[in-house]
Amino acid sequence: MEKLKIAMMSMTHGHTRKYYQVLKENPKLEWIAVSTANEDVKRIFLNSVEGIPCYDSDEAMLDAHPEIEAAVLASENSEHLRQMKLCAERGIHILSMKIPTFDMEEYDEMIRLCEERRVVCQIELELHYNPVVRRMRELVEAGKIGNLLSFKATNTTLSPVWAFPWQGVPEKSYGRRVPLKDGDPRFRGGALCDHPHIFDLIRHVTGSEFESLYASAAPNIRPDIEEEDMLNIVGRMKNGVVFSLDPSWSNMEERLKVPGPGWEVAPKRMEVNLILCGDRGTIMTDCFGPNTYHNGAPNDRYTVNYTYFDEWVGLIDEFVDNIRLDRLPKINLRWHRETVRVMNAVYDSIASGRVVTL
Amino acid sequence: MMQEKLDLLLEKYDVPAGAEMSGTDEVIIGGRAYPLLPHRFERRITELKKMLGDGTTGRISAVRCGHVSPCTVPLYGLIRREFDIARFITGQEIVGVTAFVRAENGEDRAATLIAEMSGGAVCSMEIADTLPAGEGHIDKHEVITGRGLVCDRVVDSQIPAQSVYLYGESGDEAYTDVDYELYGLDQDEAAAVRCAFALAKDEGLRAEALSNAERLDKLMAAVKRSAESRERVSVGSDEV
Repeated sequence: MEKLKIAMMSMTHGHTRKYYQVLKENPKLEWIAVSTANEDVKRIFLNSVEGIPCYDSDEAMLDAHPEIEAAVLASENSEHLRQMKLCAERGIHILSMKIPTFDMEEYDEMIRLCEERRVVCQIELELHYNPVVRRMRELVEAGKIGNLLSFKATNTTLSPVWAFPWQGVPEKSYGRRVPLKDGDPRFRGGALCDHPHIFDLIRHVTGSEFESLYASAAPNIRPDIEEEDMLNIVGRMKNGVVFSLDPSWSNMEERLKVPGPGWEVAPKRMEVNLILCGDRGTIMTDCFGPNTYHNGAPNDRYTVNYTYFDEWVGLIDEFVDNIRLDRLPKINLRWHRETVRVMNAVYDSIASGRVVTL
Repeated sequence: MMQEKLDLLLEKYDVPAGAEMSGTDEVIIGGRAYPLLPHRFERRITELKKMLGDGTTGRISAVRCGHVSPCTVPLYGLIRREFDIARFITGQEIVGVTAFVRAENGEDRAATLIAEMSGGAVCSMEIADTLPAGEGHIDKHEVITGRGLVCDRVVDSQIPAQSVYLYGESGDEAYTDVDYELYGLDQDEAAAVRCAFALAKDEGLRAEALSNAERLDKLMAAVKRSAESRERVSVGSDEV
């Protein structure tokens, strides 16, 4: 199979550095170039990776390298539509970050663009390439817990806003400035926007869609950011499964500008735990564990050191195959639209204080 | 299945050397057998090594290794593995061994050991193969340094955590899946395939594997001598 000539854009997304290793090591890829959105991310990139041409604009990169076949849009959510247009017009396949856009009109334009230009657009939801999730799904599908009754999921992390400032700007994260609810000084665009995975996963595991939900935003544990950082959602799927989802930024962090050792104040940076209760059994899952632990430098705090974290290997393998073999991505724009619509409904429930029927 | 997964990696990453596995103990490359030290490719072990070497911790003081296995696993295989883990994660050589071994019905089943290391660290080990057949291994590795500790088990726990627990009508099950490319293999098998793949890729690692095996042979001979003599046995490079 011919190597896929791939590029990255913007380099402002929190997942940017996850691609460094896989783009260098995956033999199916030839990493052609990157474009950086500002001097800060340019400096970080140049300090991290050698030998890849770096441009100050997306257009300059694409003009200089017409051989580029695919691009990772490693950018803030507000840039995705512009970059998708750039790529689609040139027939460049797209790997989008986890939220293409929260604006459903923009979203439909993205679908139209990609379908008209016949470019692959895969959404980066890396949990699908996590071996623990794969095991959990196999056990459920094998009927080990019988009929699923309830689904509980946490997708909690530290807040990335200090290292990736756009995530703290409602216009760049959510797409516009929308108050969380009347009388609340906060705006949409915080922890919820960072954590679509569990909203997607429940659809896959249950084979069903959301029927109704209720969401409540708790007081921020970081009073100086203007978006929500703590929230919970409960509700029911159309097949009757009840759920509880926690996509909070509940794991307190040091306010580092570049992620690295010592980011954690809470011992653990990130957690995706699932509890599935069925009429014949229960499954409890830690998608990123077990791990190793230390209380050394730089802050001498008890810290979880992640051990298993290679989701991007499978994700990129699938992306290349989708392009070369003309396959529809597992997480494609049309599938993912419902997940984004439901996440908007979460905000609607917070705003109204009522259960939202989908 | 291990061979199938190894072939998958060799093909995917364009490694020309053919390699054949006949279990988790060795790999045949170019007609020659190379011993596998799969624990060196277990992620938790490589992470411990990394933290001990990247400035996260201070000068190593003590290493604590505990390993209880099912009764079907030979005791000396366990000791050999734990010795090599201590050597690998600390970067220090074992230079002195004191071993007490307890036999039951003519078979050695439990051992307590102190291994002194070239950098001054002291490693204590408790090893036994006393779990019922079919049980999983229970092991724990903890290194105490002048600046904090590293451990592959969560604080307050003596037993390994798993990533998936199933509580069902037909009994409880637990799984730890660690490698998406090698999905379907258990942790030990995945580590063995990663080890075989690394040897197939890197001739230097093959020479290192042979050298490590030779050193471990000497250390195991020292364990037996110490247990028999009830004395500490030095294992300097020119003594064994």
